Amino acid sequence: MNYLIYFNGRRWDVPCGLGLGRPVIRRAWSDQCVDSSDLGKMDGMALLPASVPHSSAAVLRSWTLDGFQGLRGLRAALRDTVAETSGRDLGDVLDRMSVVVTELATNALRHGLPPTVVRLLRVGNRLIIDVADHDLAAAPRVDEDRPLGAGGLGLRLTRTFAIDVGWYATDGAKHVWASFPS
Amino acid sequence: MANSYKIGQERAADGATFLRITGELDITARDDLREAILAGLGDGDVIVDLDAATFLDSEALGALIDGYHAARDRTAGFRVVNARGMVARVLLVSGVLDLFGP
Repeated sequence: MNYLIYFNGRRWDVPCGLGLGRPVIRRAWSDQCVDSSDLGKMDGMALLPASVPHSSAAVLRSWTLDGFQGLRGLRAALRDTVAETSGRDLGDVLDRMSVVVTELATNALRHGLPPTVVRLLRVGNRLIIDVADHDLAAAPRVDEDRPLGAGGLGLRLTRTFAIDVGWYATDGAKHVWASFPS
Repeated sequence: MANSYKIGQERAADGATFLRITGELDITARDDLREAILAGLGDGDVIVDLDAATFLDSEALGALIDGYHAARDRTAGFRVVNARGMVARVLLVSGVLDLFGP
């Protein structure tokens, strides 16, 4: 399976297996960088570098959400799982992960087709939150009835609180991921 | 299913409304929060007290921003107070902490 990857402002088609630990360039991408017409030209997702998951990622836990009412339980379950799996004092990492998982899952629930699948992965010394939705045809859009900037705030929070943020597309699903120290 | 949050309302003698928030504010709280703020602004100033709020995301923050704008339209006062920990940090990163008053 080939993935799309954007690195240093250019598009590369690379085979799977490329690691997540690559440095990612955080800057705005032009529309030209988005290959598939349905992968978020019009919104903040176009500002995220696309990068592939690591082939050796260990899935620690997986949750399926079908509505916004599940967000609180997701936050609690994520905290419990991370606290169990991490041997050290995480400081504010749990708080940061709570915000990011909420932002990413809310976006997926709003714009994607159910189910929204949230996974907690471990890759090396990173914990990864990976949120997938199954609607490539309807890319995340800025809702016109939302206050201006509300969508951008979620992205800003995610990029501030996570170490790295990116996205990738596989057959039938779009994944947005964010990494944290473990 | 029970909400993740509560919005307690107190009315001061001068007509100001205090909204005391308990719990987690995400998209499920957004509309209730916005309505409570707008209703309060109809009578006077609104102060949102986040002392007991344990979570705030960009959706709920959107309701606070709506409140800020609505207050300006009506020349009423709108403040968000007592944010702590991660809730304060979300306001800070979003650039609204100063906007919402001390």
